[in-house]
Amino acid sequence: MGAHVKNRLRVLRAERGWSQAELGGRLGVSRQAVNAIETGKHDPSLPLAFRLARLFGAGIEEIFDDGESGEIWRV
Amino acid sequence: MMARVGRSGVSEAQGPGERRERARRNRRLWIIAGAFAIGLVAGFASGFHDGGRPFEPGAPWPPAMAIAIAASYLVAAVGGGILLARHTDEVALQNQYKAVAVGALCYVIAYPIWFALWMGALLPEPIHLALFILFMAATMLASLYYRFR
Repeated sequence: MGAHVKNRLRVLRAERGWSQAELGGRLGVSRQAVNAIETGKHDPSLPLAFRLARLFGAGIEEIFDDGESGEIWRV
Repeated sequence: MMARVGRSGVSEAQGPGERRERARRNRRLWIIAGAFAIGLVAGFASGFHDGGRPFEPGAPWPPAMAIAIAASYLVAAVGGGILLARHTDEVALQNQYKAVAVGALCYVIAYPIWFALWMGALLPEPIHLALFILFMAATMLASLYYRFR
């Protein structure tokens, strides 16, 4: 299994005063799912990452960080 | 704003998200309860018609009851599974897939070994009910592990 990406979900959620259940309900996932993403146990799918980005009004890269430098190998 | 934390440390449902999450959880519980109720009725029906010889291969069920139980299981397992999947998020679904894979792995390891030992006259013939229970138990244990790890 590859390394999980880091994220700022807990901070963004706290800024809005939302509980995990509140965020989960707004995303259409369970509280446990939010917890799993926040703690890095689960990397969200691309559709869920987009939903998160839209909900927080931020880019996906502003929420998630995969630790890469940004350099992409081109073929 | 909407989410408050109660004395127990558990958030009280206040915001629209929390209400939606609670409704989703309730729908899941109703689906599970429905499938459980079907199983309960089927179990009681078989219990009243097994002639006092439960799970014995030689104790036949009335054909109509056997068909009814098979059909109700099909409805509960397939219909309930589809309904439940619609109200299950990707984390829970992924955990469930992994748990089923663990159960299947246990089955494909256990059956050939049991079969070989049976052929060597070291064990009785493999029992399909025991293998089914092994699969279900392994799946449930793995599911609990992935949920609470």
